[in-house]
Amino acid sequence: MPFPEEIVTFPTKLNITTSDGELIKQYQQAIKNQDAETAASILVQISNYEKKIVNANYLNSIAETVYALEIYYLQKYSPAIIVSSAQPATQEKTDMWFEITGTET
Amino acid sequence: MSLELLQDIHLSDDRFWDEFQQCWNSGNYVRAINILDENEELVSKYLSADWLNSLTALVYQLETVPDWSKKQIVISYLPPSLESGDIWFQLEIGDLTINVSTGVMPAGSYIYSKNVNFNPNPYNIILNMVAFQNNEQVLLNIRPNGSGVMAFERNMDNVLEDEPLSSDIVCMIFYADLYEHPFINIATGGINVNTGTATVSFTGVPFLATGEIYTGGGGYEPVLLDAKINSSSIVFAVEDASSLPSYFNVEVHYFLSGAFTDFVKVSTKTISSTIDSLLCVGYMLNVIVTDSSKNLIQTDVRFNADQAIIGVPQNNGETLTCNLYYPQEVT
Repeated sequence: MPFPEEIVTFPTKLNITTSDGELIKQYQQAIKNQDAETAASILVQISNYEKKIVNANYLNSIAETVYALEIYYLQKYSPAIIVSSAQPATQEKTDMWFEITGTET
Repeated sequence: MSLELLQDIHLSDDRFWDEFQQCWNSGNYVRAINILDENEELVSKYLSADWLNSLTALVYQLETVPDWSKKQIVISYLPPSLESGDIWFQLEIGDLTINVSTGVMPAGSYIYSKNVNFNPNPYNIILNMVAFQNNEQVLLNIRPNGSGVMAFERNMDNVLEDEPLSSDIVCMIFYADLYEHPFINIATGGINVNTGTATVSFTGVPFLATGEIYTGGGGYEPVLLDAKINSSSIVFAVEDASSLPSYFNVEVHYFLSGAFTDFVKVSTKTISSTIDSLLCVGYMLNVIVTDSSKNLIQTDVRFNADQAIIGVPQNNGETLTCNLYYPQEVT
């Protein structure tokens, strides 16, 4: 479920280490050879490999959430009115506002 | 939180790229990674876990930021300390005071009395009377009572020097529901039948004085009084002392703790004459007048809906400080 229906969380990533070097090199060679099955078997041998790989799913999740945040704040706070003499044009269902019926000096 | 911007690899970085490739392909992974970390030109040209984690932390922070600021909207009887753009909601006594009677005092009258028809149970008590003349509020002397006959009076003492009314006025009586907002008696005294006066000392801040006649058999009947409230004593007076019975009881009340727990000073003014006024809000008020040495000064105070008239019988021109208070409800 995307934001704002749910808070989207992201996994913490790890840098590769020198001890990962040999397996990564084998993985790259398997990709060059278009041997996806071997590449996949090598990948899972890298410790915490899921935290060391950047794939489209991960990047898309960030991009979609950033876009949802842009839309959310644009609609929610522009204009940022809850006290007004007129009903806010951007009022959504369940939103509330306070009507100014007069002013005192 | 901000993110360091990434850069593309430039042609000038080709020497690092070649060396990195050679080290990586030859299995010298330590040197390969060191090339990225040791050369300032490359710091912002590779994707690190730290950078990605900072990016996702920033996104998460935006997702979970509170919808509204933590600043609160104050609800109070009077405006709180406000900054530009702040708002507050005014709390009105509203349901605490009820208009129970309206009458008309004829033009030229000094004293007007009428029977008011409100529930005379012991939990109801008169708080204030408000009068209007040609839609303008006029001052009346307040004579709180328990029930029965109420007096709207225009000329109670020489200090205030009231003028006869020029036209009819409309009088309104308010009372408080003491069952919901209980009072407590904080002092009781007896009036001298020869002088018609009594002085009752008390502690606390009173807002209401009542009088009642002992009718025998444990019964009491309310009586009209003129009460002058000071900070530690109240002077009661009746106009016709000869009509007093042998025993006369007066009481001073304040709100029971829990209903109203504090008094707030809402207005201060210095005066140097025998009569002055303070603007006020609310119906349950008290005025304390002190001289420059903070000694209490005897005063005659008349409360109306938005004004307190202060009479100082023995002021010889000294500057006095008048503090106006009202009770603040704590919920």
